[in-house]
Amino acid sequence: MGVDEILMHPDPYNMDLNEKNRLKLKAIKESFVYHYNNCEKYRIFCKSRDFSPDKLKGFSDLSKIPLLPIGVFKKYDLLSVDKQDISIIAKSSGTTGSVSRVYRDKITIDRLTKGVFKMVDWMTEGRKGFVGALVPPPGENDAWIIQSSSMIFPKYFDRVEHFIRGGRIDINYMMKILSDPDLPKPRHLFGPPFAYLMLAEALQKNSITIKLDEESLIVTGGGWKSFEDKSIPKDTFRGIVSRLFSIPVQNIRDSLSCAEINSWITDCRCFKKHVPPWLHVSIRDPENPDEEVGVGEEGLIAYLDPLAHSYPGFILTDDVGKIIVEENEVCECGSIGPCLHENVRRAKGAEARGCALRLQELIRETK
Amino acid sequence: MEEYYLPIILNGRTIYGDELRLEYDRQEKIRISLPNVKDNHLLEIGKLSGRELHKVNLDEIISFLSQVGELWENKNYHFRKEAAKISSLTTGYHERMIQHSYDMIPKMLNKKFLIETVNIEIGNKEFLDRWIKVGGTRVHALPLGKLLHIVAGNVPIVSILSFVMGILTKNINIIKVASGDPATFIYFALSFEEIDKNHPVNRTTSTLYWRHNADVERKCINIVDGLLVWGSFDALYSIRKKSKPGQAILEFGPRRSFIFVGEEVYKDISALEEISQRIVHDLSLYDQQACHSPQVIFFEGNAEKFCEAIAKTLEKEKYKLPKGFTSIDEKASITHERMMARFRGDKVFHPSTTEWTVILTKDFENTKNHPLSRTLYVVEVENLKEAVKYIDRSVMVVAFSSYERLEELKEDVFLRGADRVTMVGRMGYFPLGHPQEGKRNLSQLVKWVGADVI
Repeated sequence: MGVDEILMHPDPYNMDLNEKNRLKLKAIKESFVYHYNNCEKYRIFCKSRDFSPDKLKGFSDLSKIPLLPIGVFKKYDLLSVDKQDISIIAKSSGTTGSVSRVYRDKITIDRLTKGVFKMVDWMTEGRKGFVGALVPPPGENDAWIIQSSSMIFPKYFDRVEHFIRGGRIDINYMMKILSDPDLPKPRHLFGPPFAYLMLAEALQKNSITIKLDEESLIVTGGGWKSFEDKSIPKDTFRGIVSRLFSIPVQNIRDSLSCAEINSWITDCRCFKKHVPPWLHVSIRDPENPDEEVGVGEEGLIAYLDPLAHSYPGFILTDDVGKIIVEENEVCECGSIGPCLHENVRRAKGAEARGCALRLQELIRETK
Repeated sequence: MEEYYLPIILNGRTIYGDELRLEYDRQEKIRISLPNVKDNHLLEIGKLSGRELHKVNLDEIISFLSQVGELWENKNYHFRKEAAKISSLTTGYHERMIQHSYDMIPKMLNKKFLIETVNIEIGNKEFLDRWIKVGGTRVHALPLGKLLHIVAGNVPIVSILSFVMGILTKNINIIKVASGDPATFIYFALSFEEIDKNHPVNRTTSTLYWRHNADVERKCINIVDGLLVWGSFDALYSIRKKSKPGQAILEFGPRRSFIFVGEEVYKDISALEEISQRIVHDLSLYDQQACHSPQVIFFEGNAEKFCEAIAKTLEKEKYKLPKGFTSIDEKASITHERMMARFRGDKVFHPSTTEWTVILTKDFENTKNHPLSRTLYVVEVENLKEAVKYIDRSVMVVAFSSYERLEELKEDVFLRGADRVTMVGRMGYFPLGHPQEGKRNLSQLVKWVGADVI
């Protein structure tokens, strides 16, 4: 399978661009044919859009693959395999009521794990060490970011600990673990940005300083969620966190993913979000999602994810972003494109305007 | 970047400053700078007893308001022009929409209209000026005192409507303008000075702005006797949490509105065209951001031809009340809704842009993730009676395609929770005497006192 070929590549983030495009096209083509044949709902949708596998020939046809609006995962069970083959139902960690349900089988999870391993290899330059997770343990929360990181990190890193317990950052426990001389190094941290700010506040209040290692990475993921009003510009955030943990600013990296895809898009040291070579990202005109916008132009992020085996991973999100390093370009960090601009944001829904009455508000009112 | 400086107004005194900046992403970035509200500003308002207008005759207040209305009747009045320009930029509405909204100001401030409003809401306007014998007692309506109006920016004249309620009941008024539309009320209040700087209405009106949840909000709530809050559930909850026991709270919104269309519209092509035009007007007014804007149409029978007629009219009439600025976020919501509709097999009518959308669906559940921005869901029902069950307390206006259907269903519609029934084309125009959101608001902004007759 094309997808296995690209996932098995020894150095996927630095591969030859032509080879990357060839393998990516092959993987997505195979994936499209598979889902067209195995997911009835998707096939009906494709037919209504007058698109079938015979129309997917070259790389430029990728933009013609019918995209599923991300909301379908909130309303429908989309499956390309039997329900009995499902191992995990991933749930989104959204803030606006209804939750996505994404059905993953073993094949999808294996691919996801391989892909994340390759991404972490690239980001850490092969240094494993310790990860302190500023997210609750998987038993306390079923959000996909928590479930997936808890599933994959222990398989890759030498040791993983969760510093959020019962909804609070356990500073004493964190200090005890981080100061253990036997703790594998480098010591990395992972969590949503607001958790770092909460941690910074708590550490300052208690006059505690932490010095991590020169190679430590501090990785953010999951966005600001309901703490959006506390969000600060990325460079300000990096400045605060860099001082707090005494690590170089370029070791503070943000990541982007969602419950509906099987890859993480992470910052390089130049703060450009590298799309893994097996995932195709395309920026769509919000006015007409069948059209792609130009490089550097803002639009809605669409993913063609060939790692998805149990469901069709051809998705139009409501995230707004732009491409800053093209498909056939190499980033200033030395790795291949494409790259997204570091600022990706969720489009504000109608609840932000006027008398948009949301169902969730109605429910709240009647409680 | 285009930059504008707006003042705050403190008991009629204008204060300029630029400590607070509001930015708006439009074609070009817009910045509005305002002064911060400081503690001493609130102290100054706090010094007012709340009874300053008690002895002022209501006719004098009404006369002052009608003079303001006359100024604003003139489209070239300099404050109206400035306000319309800035309001169009901050709200995103097309300037023609703002002008349409401002055209209602002189109507709202018409002397006869104001007197009738007080008479209807209070029973007799004399209650506000003197003791009136009622049964075995003499009754007088005293102002509550100081009112804080937290207004929303989705309908520009809401701030003026809220103020009018406060001033007609002789209260002291503090208007906290919305970030979405800071200009309308600020310029409106500035025009008081041009009539009479020392008029008690001017000297008792303050126009302020602060960011959501700013400390000054709590402090201001502490000095007032009543609150009029317009906006989202979050805004209402947030203010309610900060209010004091005994404080009067009048809440407005959020609501939505529906249209009921009977199958008889197909009998006559010209009737169908006229109904479509009226519906398109209701939909276009405030780009569907108002509580009275229709979000869903229930259509009796097969609605395909009806949707086509609406689509045709939307395209034909789009220049009458042109759509304003559509953000990338709005476009994203519309696009996703269109795609979701297609995925579930609904019929979607739209132009090549996101200017308007009509979605023909069979299930009311599909209408709940409404993107607004001139999007209409048309739900087919066998009989209009069937659609009544979808009405609840969240519904403000239900408009009908014919008066016969209105009469037939009005009782059921009200019993389900709606506030008003009307004919299509009139959803945004509230007639004299209409109880705003199911209440007689003026009577809640006074304290009724009685002096026994011995």
